[in-house]
Amino acid sequence: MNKQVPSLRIFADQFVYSCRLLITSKLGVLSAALVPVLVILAFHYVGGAENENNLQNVAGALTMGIIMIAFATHATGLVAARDQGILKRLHGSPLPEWCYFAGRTAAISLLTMLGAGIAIVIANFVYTITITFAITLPIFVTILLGAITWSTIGTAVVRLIRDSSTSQTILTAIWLPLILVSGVFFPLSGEPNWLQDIVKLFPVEPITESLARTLHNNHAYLSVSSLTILLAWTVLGVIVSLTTFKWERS
Amino acid sequence: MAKLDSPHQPVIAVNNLVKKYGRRTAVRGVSFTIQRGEVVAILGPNGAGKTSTVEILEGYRNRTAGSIEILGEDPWHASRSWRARVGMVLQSTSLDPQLRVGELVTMYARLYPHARDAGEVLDMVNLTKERGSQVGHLSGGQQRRVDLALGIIGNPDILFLDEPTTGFDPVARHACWDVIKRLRAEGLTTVLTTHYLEEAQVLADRIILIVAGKVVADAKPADIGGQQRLATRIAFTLDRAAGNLLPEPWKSAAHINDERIELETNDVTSELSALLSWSRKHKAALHNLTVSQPSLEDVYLKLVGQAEHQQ
Repeated sequence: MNKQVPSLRIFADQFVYSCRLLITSKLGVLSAALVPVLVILAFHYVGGAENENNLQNVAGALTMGIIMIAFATHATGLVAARDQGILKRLHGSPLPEWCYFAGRTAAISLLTMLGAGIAIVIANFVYTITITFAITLPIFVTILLGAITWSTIGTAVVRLIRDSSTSQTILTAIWLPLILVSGVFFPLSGEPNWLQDIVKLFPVEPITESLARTLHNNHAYLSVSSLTILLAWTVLGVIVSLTTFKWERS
Repeated sequence: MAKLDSPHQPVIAVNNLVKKYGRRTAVRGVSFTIQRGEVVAILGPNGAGKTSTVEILEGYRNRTAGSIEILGEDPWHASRSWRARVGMVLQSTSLDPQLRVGELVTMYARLYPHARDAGEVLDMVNLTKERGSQVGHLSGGQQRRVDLALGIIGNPDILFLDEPTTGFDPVARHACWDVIKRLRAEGLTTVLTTHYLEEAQVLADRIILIVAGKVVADAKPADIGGQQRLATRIAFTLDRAAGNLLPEPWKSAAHINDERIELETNDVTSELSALLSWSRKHKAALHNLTVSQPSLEDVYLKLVGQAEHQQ
């Protein structure tokens, strides 16, 4: 009588369910596929194919894609599901909570990587750079780590958002300043040292730096400090989510 | 670990339940038990505390005081196996609009160890034809039936139905009642909250009336509020000229709305006989003559009025 459906099967189902939701919400797919590409094309238009900042721009575009999808799209979807009572219904079922969030994170990470894949292909075309097969794996590992980190942060901030009407405003107010001060598209050299030290603690610069260095050096680069920062934010996101997340609107 | 629940033990036992939100007390010492296979309707005006009570039973809210045991467990600390035995149809529709009906029902079915067949459930709620339709493209009533399908897909032992037929047309409402009757015949314990008193009368074995956070009545629909002892109502319409001839004590006892005259009596046979004799004698036709027992709605309004007056 107490026999339950295996959690791994439920996790797999939730992954498929979340993928279906992302695919059917055309906005999510479009933003995933288009935002990094548009950023790459915009920099190409402004700076040309031979610009020395091309690799930095590609790294920046990929980072922005990670944050927009894994953080903004993910959190927006969670708020909408909470407001529509979908989360409340799921919470009343025998669905283990971790299966829901792991399935959703896996789906959003996959979408992030697909978006990044498209952006990398476009970057190969429009810039005179070559992204070799050898660095593809480390790039995607970095993108995966970034996506997991940002989706846990996205889950954690859902508590701050009262309803769907304010979600985009609040989320943009979080990610946009972070991207601007973290040297995603422009070097940090012009900023005061104390600000540089602080922004390095946020989970933006470690991702951009890892991607940029991997592209520059043509071999895998992910420093221990970057990994530690991403891991720390992931753990923090999980702890905050566990303690504050609400399955229904207040 | 869930306790083994014997067939003679109540499947729901609520004792002196209290729920406070800050300074406001929504539930004030509610107690009742529900036996296996019973269909119990919880009624009450808006703000009476019934939603708080039901949400505590469902495990969505923690109580401030009192004890509660459902299928041998405290819902607030319910295990996965407990959740697999409890089905819920929430007050408002809560569905992913972009998914197809069939895939949504199948996804939920795969969460439960002893789920019903998705096709069978869709057939029960009359949504077989809509299986491939996007949920967001369905009418409000059809979406509510998807809600009902998700509530019963897990083959639960207890089903909570929170205003399940809101937004249904009369045909859909009766179809939903048929589903609930079928589930009752299968032995499913059901807790129903509704604002449709006819629904409670048709479906419920028992009615619990909550007003201002307290249980003010707990009885079979036919017995609630001493319904059987309440006066029978005789109503008819007289031509204006005949109305002036109406003798005492009827004239002063009657409620007269326009030309419609209503009398309440505990001796309906004698009263009706005398009325018919008077009608024949004075050639005063009794148009639209009706003799009716007080409805559940009459009793409900009376009990709610009394309880609110005592506050």
